[in-house]
Formats: sequence, C-alpha cells, structure tokens
Amino acid sequence: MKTRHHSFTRIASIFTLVAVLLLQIIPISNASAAQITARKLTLQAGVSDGGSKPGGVVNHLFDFSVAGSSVGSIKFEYCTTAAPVTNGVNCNLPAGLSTTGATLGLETGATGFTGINTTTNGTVIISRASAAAVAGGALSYRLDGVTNPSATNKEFFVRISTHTSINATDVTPANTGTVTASTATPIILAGTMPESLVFCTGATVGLTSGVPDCATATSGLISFNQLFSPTDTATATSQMAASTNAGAGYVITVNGPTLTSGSNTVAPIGSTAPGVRGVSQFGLNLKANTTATSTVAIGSELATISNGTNYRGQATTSYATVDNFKFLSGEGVANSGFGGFGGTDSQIFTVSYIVNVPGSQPAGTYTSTLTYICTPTF
Amino acid sequence: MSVNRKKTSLSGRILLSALLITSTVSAAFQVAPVSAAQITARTLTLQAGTTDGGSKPSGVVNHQFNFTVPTTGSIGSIQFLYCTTASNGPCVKPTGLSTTAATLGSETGATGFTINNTTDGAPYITRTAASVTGATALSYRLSTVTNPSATNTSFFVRISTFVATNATGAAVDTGTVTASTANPIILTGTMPESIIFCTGATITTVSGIPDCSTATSGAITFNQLFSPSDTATATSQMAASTNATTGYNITVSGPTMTSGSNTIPAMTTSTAGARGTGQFGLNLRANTTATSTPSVGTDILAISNGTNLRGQPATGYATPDNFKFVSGDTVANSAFNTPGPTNSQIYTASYIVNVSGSQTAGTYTSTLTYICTAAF
Repeated sequence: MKTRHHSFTRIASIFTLVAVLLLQIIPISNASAAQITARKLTLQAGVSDGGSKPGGVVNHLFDFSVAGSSVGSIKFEYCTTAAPVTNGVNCNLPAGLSTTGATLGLETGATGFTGINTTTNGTVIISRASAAAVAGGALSYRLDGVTNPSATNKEFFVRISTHTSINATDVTPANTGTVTASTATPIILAGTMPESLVFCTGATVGLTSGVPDCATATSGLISFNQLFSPTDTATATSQMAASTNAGAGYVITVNGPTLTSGSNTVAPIGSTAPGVRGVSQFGLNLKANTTATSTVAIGSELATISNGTNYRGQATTSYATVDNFKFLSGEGVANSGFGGFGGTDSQIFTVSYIVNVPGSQPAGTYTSTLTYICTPTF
Repeated sequence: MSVNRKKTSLSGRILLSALLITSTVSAAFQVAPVSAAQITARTLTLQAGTTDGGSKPSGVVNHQFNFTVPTTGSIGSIQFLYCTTASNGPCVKPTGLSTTAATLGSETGATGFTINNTTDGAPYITRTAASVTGATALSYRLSTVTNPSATNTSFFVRISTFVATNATGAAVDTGTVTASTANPIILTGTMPESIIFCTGATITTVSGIPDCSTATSGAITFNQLFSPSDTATATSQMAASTNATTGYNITVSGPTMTSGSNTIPAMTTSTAGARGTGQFGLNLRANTTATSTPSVGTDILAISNGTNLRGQPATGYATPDNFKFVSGDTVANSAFNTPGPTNSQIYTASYIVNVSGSQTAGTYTSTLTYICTAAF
C-alpha cells in the first residue's frame, strides 16, 4: 500500500515537472483584443450647436487605425470613464448624452456600414451586411445628431471596438481603444455698437493706416495763399472727415459770415459760378479745381471715393462743380447720400475757398469764422 | 411653553400662506418686462447761438431735437440726458457742457412744455401729462446750451419720454442721438494797399473786367502820314484801379513829337484841332468827325458811378474834339463825385497831329510816360 502511494507521488511529481518545463517552452496564446491606434474623437458643430456645447446636438467624428482583421461591426460605447470602474460597473452613461438619434454621417477606410443600431442609449453599433477584411490603416466614421453630455467642461469617453460579428456580440473584440473629448462652456461674446458720429474739421485731417483720423486734425486757423488782388485769385483749403452709422446718413452745413474787415466785406457768391478776377467774390466748393480758377490748382476730390455701399459721402449740388463756387450760410455742402442716404465710413472732404476782389476793395485783414455742422439722422 | 409653540406654529402657517398666495398671484399675473420702445427718425442739429457757431466747442448755441415717438400714450415729461457715451450704462456728462441756462426755444408736435434745467446735463421739459398719438413727429429746441469743450468730439443725448411730469419712473420711449463739436474754420486773408495800372496800345476785358495781362505793346503808329490837309490820329489805352481812400491821379510826361531837331508844337491849352497848323495834343474822350475821319477815341469804360467807379479825365483832357499836351499834366483821376477808391476802368487816349505845310519831312516820335499815383 505504501509502495503504491510512493509510485503515485513520483508519477505526479514527474508530471508536474514536465508540465512546468513545457510551460516554459510553449507559450500560451494571448486571447485579449489588439489596441486601436491613432485614435481621436473630434467634436464637430451640428446644425445649430457648437461641437463642444454641453447638451448640444452635434457630430462626433472618430478617426483611428486598426491592425488588419475581419470587421463586421464597430461599437462606440459612451462612458464617464475610460475603463470599467472598480465596483464592477462596466460603463456609466454620461448624464444628458443621447445617441438614440444618431446617424452615420460619413465613413472612410472601411466602408459599407449600412446598418446602425442606436437602440441602447450610449451605445452605437455600425454594421456591414457581412464581415470583410480590413487591410489595416486609417478609418473614420462620423456619428451625426449626437446629443452631448450636459455637464459643462466635463470630459467623457468612448470605447471603440471592432468585431468580426455584424452585431458586436463577439466576446472578444478584434480591436479596442478608448477616445475622449470634453464639453466646454460656450464663450458668448457680446458688444454694443451705439449710435455713432465721428466728425472733425481742421486745416488738414490725416490718415492712420489709411483711415481718416480725427486725432490728427490740425488747427482751423487758415490763411489765404496770397494777398488779395484784383488780378489774381487768392485760395485756401480746409478739410473735414465724417462717418456715421445713422440709417438716414448725415448732412453737413456751413455756417458763418463772409470775409469781413470792419465794415468792409468780400461779397459771397450767392449762386454757383466760376471765379472772376477783379470782382468781389468769396466762395467755396468741395472739388479738385483747375488752373482756370487759380494759378496753382486748388482742392482735392473726396477721399476715399464713394461707392454707394460703405462710402456714401458727396458734395451737394451747389458745391460739386469743378471751378464753380458758392457761399450761403446754413446751406448743406455735403451729405452721405451717394447711391442713397445711409451710413458711411469716414471720408475726407477738402473745402476750397477762393477770394477775388475789385480794385477798390479797401485794404485790411479780412476774416471769416466758419462753423461746419454734421447732423446724422438715426 | 406650549402656548409659545402654538404661537410659533400659527405664525409659520400665516407666513407659509402668504408665500403661497404671493406665488399664486405672481403666477397668475405675469409681470410684463419693462422695456421702452425705440424713438425713431431722431436727430440732434446744432444751431448757431447769438454769437457762436453751432458746433463750436464751448459755444453757447441751440440744440434742435427732432424725433418720432412710437407709443400712443401720455407724455408728461421728456428728458434730454447728455452723456459721453450712447449706451444705457452710467452717464458721464461731457466736460464743459452746461444746460443750466437752457431755455425751451421751440416745440412742435406735442406742446405746452416748460423746461426744468436744474440738473446740469439732464434737463427735461414738463407739462401736465397729455396723450400723444404714436408715430407723431416731435421737435424741441433747447436754446443757450453750452457745448462740450473738447474739439472734434462726439457727445450723446439720451432722449426719454415719461408719463410722470418730472422724468421719473419707467421711460415710455427712448432713443439716443449724437452730434460732434468741430474746429471752427477761421479764414484770414489780407487786402493790401492796391493799385493796378497798365498802359498799352489796347487793353481788353475778361469777364467784363479790364485785364492788364492783355495790354499790348506801347509802340503806336499814327493812322496816316502827317499832312497839312488832314489830321493824323492814334490811340492808346490805360486801365487803373486802386483802393486808396483818396484815389489816384494819372499824369502824362514826355516830349512833343520830335524828329531830330524838328518838332511838332504841343497844344498847351485845350483847343480844337486845326488842319494846316502844327499841333500835337491828346484827350481822353470819344471825339467826332469834326476832328478826323474816321472819328477817334472812346469814353471811359465802365462809366463812373461815384461809388465803386470813379475814374474821369482831368480838366483840359475831358472835352471831345479838344486836345492838349503839357508834360506833367494830370490827365485823369478817380475823383468822379469825390476822390476815392475805384474799380478798374479803361481810358482811351486819343492823339492828334496837325502840321503846317512847311513841316520838315521826317519820322517824328514821342515817348510818353503815364504815371498813376495813389494816396492812401
């Protein structure tokens, strides 16, 4: 009896020893799935919601690469964690997430996924009619109409798995991988454009980066280019810039007396007419005049040129003819009515002034303080 | 202790009931959001004051408001709140702006207002509340408002209508207008002491004004050879203007017609031409065929009026068909009616030469110098 027992013990020991040796020589094959690589989830804007908007109905674009295998279905499982949690719960659905309305928006790499199963909220399975080999490489699938989790600035995870079966029922998936994304608080910027008028006058108004800059307006003290003379026309210029967002645009009027020295005056040009040397005349226009008016041509056209859209400035009729001048206090000299009254970006008007005098014009220093008024209608 | 607990319990129940009733009533009567309607067609026009231009920084000017109220309802007051910004946030009064002296200059559309200008920058006009139909255009002019002091700077006025007569409570309609101060353009030019004078064979007008730039050469030849039986004539022109308060005098200087040692006698007194007699003379008139055929000369252009045209030939040279030549004589001045400044006029000087039968043959010349002197 004791001998039999010893024989059994020896056989068992030998068997165990052989088994240990065999285990060291012959590795046991691994039954776990391969790792999906180059994987990402991009949240894309839906019809009306930004991609990462909490609770937004958006599109989820999955890009990933798989090792060559036969794929019949791919499962996307949305969870609050990347892996099963320790209490044995496999996957907790992110609050607010909904995939029951999801559709397959696009597919590349491995195609023909005509079936989509969204029955279980949080799990989407796309499937082919039958499994087909995937050579390996980059795949992408976009699930449209997914409702994001409702928590703000909160990440969520999607466990991707490929299956040989067409309904993702394989116990062991061929490939697996987890991607993650996060909702984010929408940044809602708000600003107000108020009623606006920017208007300035001066001897000159300069540009900054090509835009009229009222901060550059110089003094309004302007002297004529020469002494008044019956044989030549004295000239001067000033500039003004105007912009407004008023729906009905602006009107600019000129106000003030004619050139005056004590009780002596230079006669204003009451109706638009050319300058005539030897005749008492004070007038202005908003044009680029020629040497028909003065030895050195005076004035400039409106800059920038109006286009009827965002540039609408124009001289009014009485002040819009080259080499013709007028001065009538209170009259509109410019408006933003080019192509229809409306708002306009800033443009610079150059006002040209002329003085002609007869031989009897009394000697003296003549001045006129002109006030330009820009009135927008909102 | 028990009584106190009962009291507490009763108080709690009453409080709970009150809260319940309040919430029920609140639910039943939803409070309408307080939101004023937008005033439309609104403008602020800066208008000149007594001495200042409308957009002058710190100018005491008038502010004309035009706008249309959309809401039909009572208006008891309208406030004009002056701010540096348009938004409905806090209002900062523009520096230098003052409305404490403002008056209500005009009112149309809804009338019967008086002004309350107690709070600087926030005047309002008030009346016993009366209804205004929606879409009515209103206008009010606030006079003697002192503009903000910053140059080329926009400012904003928030207009609000109220049922209350003191611009309190919820605004019914609101709207913002804007305007900008602007640099006054001060043009300065000098009219110096002036005399414009020129001579030549001819001077023409440009746009009706004598133009010295058109004066031609002063080298003039008589119309024909000198002859004892006919009068040779020639003309020159001169134009003059001045702003001298006592006007100008024009003198003629030079010798008589001379050829070597031979001369044609000058007419030292103003007399008519006489053929066959040695005569050299001139005048500044339109002469007749009594002097020559064709007639020679033209009267001054434009004709003097004693105000801005004062030129005239001087005595001795002012009678048609009478001629004279004395070197240094005044031949013209700007003393028509009274000496003074004058606009430009053109004189035509007519020269005649008569010779006796013994006048030595030769080419006779005279270089005459006209001098215009203005006394300022």
